[in-house]
Amino acid sequence: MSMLIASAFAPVFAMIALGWGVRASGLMGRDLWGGVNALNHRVLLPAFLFVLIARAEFGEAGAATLAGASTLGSLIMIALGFAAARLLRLKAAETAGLVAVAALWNLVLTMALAQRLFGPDTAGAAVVLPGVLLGAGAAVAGFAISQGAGPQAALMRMARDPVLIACVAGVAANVAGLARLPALLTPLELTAAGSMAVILLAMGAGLDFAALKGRLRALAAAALLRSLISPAIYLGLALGFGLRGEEAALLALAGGAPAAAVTYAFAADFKCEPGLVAGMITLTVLTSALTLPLVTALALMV
Amino acid sequence: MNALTAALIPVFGVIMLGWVLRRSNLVRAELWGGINRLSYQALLPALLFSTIATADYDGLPAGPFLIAVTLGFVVMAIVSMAFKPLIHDGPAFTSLFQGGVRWNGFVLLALAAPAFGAEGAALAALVFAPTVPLINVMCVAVLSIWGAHDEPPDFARVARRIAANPLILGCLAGLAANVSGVFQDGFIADTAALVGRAALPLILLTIGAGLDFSALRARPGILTLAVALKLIAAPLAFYALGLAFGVEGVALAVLVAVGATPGAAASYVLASEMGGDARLMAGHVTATTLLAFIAMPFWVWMAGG
Repeated sequence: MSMLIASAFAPVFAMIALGWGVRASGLMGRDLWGGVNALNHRVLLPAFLFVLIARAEFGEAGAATLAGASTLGSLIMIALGFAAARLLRLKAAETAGLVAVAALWNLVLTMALAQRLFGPDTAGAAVVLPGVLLGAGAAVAGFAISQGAGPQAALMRMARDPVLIACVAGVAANVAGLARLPALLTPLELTAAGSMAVILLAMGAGLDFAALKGRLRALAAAALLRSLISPAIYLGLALGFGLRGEEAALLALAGGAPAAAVTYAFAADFKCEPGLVAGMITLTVLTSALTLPLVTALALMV
Repeated sequence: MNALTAALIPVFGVIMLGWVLRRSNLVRAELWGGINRLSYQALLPALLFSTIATADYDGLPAGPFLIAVTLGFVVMAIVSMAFKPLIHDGPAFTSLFQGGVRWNGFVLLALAAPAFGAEGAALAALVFAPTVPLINVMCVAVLSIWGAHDEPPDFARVARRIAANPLILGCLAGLAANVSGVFQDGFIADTAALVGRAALPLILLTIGAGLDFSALRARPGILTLAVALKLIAAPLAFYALGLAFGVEGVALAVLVAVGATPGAAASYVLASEMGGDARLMAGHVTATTLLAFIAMPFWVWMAGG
């Protein structure tokens, strides 16, 4: 078991470290990563999500249960994010950041680990789809409202976000049976094939240790919520819904994953504490590297 | 639909996607430098290392294949040089030379596994090690003589760049791992394989983003000649050399495909830096990239692949 976990996790976190090393060593400075990040957000991640969702078998036994547990997990984490912010008396913008980080988990890291543990045909779409829609929805709405932009601005931002568009298009393609058209899907599959590695490398390059200075309470709350409370809740939900083995581990991976890197893009768009959000993402990457293997092992044992 | 044509469709689709992304400004022109840098410095070396380190070369005609493929580029250099008396414009001639000699190995790498199987992919990856330095030295020599420069080219800088070429280093590290039997599985191998998986989609997108259709109007006569050199003369030369050295089967198909690959985007960069005709080079890369989707299946079919 421990060898399986180590061999799955080590290369994935090594890629994040490699991305950081390439940026920190000056081999590829911060300015050059702008294009990679744009490609990730506008092309690679949407292509990955579209292919994953378009090809998913949502009618399979267990898919509805996984989706239900994932939905409930996201809703609980949104509520806990708000509760923690209230407890710590955070300002509106800080609250938006904490809720976003608590609710929007890193789906690429989750799927990269799931595929290394369970093979390329892992059925992750049922967990990913509600997680992305609810997490991104909460993040964008929170940032928009805290900056006084209003619900209309939030809806406009969501309507033109490539990640959310890809999710909706993936569902439409799935329903319409477009997954059976290889001419449409194969170029996107080839594009999506590279997405995981590039996104993980960019995640590493985006680690900002300088952002860890100051506002320790908000940072610690984000790490606690993302790396300890969330995996416990997702694992509890898995057990409560009667899920075991691979399905329980999938939920545990989602629950314990670090905050999604795209959260920073949302925060920057609304000029809503991007520095704090960068610090929260950086810290949750570090804490999840410690807790996620343990949570996954636990999920596979119960 | 044969295997090569089936493999070409997604490759062409991703290249076109790259062009659409740049043209539509969804990923603006100035952002592609970083994407290209990441592909070239990290992803492609990891892919070459991973492919070569884990390849099984027993039973493959790697020796005759490598001799034929290396000689193929030398022959194309000689053929290109034969046109010098007809082209008095030095920078334009350097672009004809680069057009005849340089190849876009990444298109072939993307096609090799689905079209030619694991042994085809292993052979395609091997081509980089001897040919990247050879082609670069030949092109730099020609550009330094006939390129337009106000100051003499900085040979030391060019030599350093060739010696530290990440593609060559990736190939050599892969060969060392293959021969010594280390890093063929485990943590390093897994990480390199994961990183390498991203190489081809990204490099294909950057090829698409670099297409410049307006450059197709540059020097039509020389452009036509350079395209003919790349997509007609080169595959014929590689095919003939393959037969002469007893290369057959999948290896012969890969050899001919090497000859029929489109021009390389690196030729545009070198032409810009060393006084070549960069616009002619951009036109050549664009034309050969589009026409290669007809030329490659044709030549591989001719070779019996």
